[in-house]
Amino acid sequence: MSLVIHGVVIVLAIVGLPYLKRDHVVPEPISVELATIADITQSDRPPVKTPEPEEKKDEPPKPVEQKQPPKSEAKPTPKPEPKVEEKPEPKVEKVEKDTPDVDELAPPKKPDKKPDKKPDPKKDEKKKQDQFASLLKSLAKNEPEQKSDIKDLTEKLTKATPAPETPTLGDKLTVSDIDALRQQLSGCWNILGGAAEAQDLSVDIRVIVNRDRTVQTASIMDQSRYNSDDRFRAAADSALRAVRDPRCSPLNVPPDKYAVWHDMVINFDPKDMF
Amino acid sequence: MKKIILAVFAIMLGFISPAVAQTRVDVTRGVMEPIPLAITNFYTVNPALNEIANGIPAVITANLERTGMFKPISPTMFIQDSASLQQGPRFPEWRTINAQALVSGVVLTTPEGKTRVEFRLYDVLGGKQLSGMAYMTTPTNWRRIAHIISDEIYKRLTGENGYFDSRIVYVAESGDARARVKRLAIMDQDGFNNRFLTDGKSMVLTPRFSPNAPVITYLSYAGNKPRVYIYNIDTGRQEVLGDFPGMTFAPRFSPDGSKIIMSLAKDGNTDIYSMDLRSRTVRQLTNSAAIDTSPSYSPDGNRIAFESDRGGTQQIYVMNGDGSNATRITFGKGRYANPVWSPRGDLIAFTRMFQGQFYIGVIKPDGSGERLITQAYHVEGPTWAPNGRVLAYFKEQPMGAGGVAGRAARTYTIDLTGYNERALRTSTDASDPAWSPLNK
Repeated sequence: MSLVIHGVVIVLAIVGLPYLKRDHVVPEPISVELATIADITQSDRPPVKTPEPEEKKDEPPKPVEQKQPPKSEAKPTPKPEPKVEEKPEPKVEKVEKDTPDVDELAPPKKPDKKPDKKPDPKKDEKKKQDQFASLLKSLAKNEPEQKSDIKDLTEKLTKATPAPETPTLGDKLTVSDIDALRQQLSGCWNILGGAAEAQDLSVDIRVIVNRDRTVQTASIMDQSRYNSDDRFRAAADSALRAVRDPRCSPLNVPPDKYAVWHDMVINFDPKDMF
Repeated sequence: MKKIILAVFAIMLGFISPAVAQTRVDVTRGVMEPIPLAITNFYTVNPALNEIANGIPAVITANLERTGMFKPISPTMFIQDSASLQQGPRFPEWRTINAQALVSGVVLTTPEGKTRVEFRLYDVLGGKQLSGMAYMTTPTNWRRIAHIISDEIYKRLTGENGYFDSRIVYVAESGDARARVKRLAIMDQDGFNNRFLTDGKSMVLTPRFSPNAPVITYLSYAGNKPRVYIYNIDTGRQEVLGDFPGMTFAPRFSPDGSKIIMSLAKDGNTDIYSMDLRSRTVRQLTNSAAIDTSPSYSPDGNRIAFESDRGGTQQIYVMNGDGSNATRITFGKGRYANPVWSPRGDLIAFTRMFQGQFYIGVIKPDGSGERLITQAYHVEGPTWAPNGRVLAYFKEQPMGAGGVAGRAARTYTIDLTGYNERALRTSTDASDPAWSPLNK
């Protein structure tokens, strides 16, 4: 028994002692302020600064996220044709069913959706990889000069990462911010009067917003119901129309809180209408 | 090694962000406005098909506009033409004229000599196609294709079934008040393709469609004896429904079309009976000293709404399909009559008379949620559109000074919300409308 205990002590000494000799980087305590979310704007801090414009300049060919809703139909040809609006959309693309006889109605067939814009996700990934690689490179270069301080690294990383994804606890849309947006969207949301029992049609739309407050993408969160329930699908489409309505663009959100409204879920529920 | 460890640690730090929930905004109010819709002429290269290519969009436009839920945009505003639409819509141009949906189409002749009609519905703001269908038909059938396309558009944009590919049978009235001629007539729901089914020698009343066959049941005074008849629209054949000792009236089909439920007045008492159309067996469903009439089945056939004065005043009751467990559901002032169960089952339409005025209203089968939809000097005979969201009925107005020349009857439709009342296009006065199910 004592043999075993001695053995363990010796092993620990061999493994642990050299480690104690090394220069230890003592991580600085990170102070976290637990702020209570208030109903009023907490705008005493400067707005989130984003180094994005510079980043864009660094990457010559990529017009980052300029993809706009007007890119209309899915195009079958992945040819790099620079045609913008005039889609040479061949008829083959949209397949429909023939009804051999008027009495036999075929169900509607949805258009073939071809992933027309692949570049974006890939570009993003590439971009991140590039950023990561360049960061490592620059770290390697600077290493001998400066003491590789965690603070510096964190700062660099923060610069390299897009800011909007990291809202802080103090950032929050105030009640009046939300109310302004709600009012705006209410004016663009057309609830079809004849829709039966619209009360049970609550639609969540995830909206990614550009820095200029225009909607970059809007997507229905409950896709399974969208594909199976005609009434929900119509309600969801009407909610999407509201978000994309030119009258509601740009969105009425405080420009300095980009990190908060960059990625939102907007729930459309006509419960107060009935 | 040290570098790598630090880098990894730093990266991990970078990913650690404060736990901030995704922003959520609740929108609980909207507007109720017609959707701006652009309906283009359909494209064709064959001049012989121009009538169809222009006629179909015109019918679709009229159908959708009549619902009050769509606002067709004047074609004079269009920037892109039908021909270039075949290459796909230029959505920004349609957005410029505030269109939210776009309808385009093509008409062509197939090598077999048939007419092929294609249409596409686009979401202009989303920049995508919502629906695309093609139909083969004979050229003379293009109006029906237009109605079918209207239904498709309506369903895709509202989530509700349409009702455009349907017909309405009604009582066509003509002549002087003292010798009023009443004939059965049938037309498309938009008033086109009208034809008379009876010659007017005998007065007819209360026509009702079969839910699954081209058959109508109605009350005729042929031979000066009021009796229930059935009429096959396709063959023109009609027959008396049974030979009862008294007067039969207020007939209506069961949801499966196998039975007719009606009132029979004999020995001074009126009760409700059902007749199996195959076996012709008759079953008495009510047995009270009161007048029980105007029966209407629920869509599942398990219950029947009817009017009765068994409680002292004319009110609406609901009972089981076998006549048991009759329960009164209306308690408002005045009198209630003509209950008609919605094809969706959620509501019962009725006529209410109160303080010299007539109303059309709806109520839930449990008696809650009564809502009056329209009111007039005399408004009566509600009938549901196949989708259960629109009602048709007729109104009568006095003719001549003090109504000495009788009454003029017109048939109207109205949205269930009580808005958008529209007069139906009929060639004569029209009363007692009955909406058909969707055409098969």
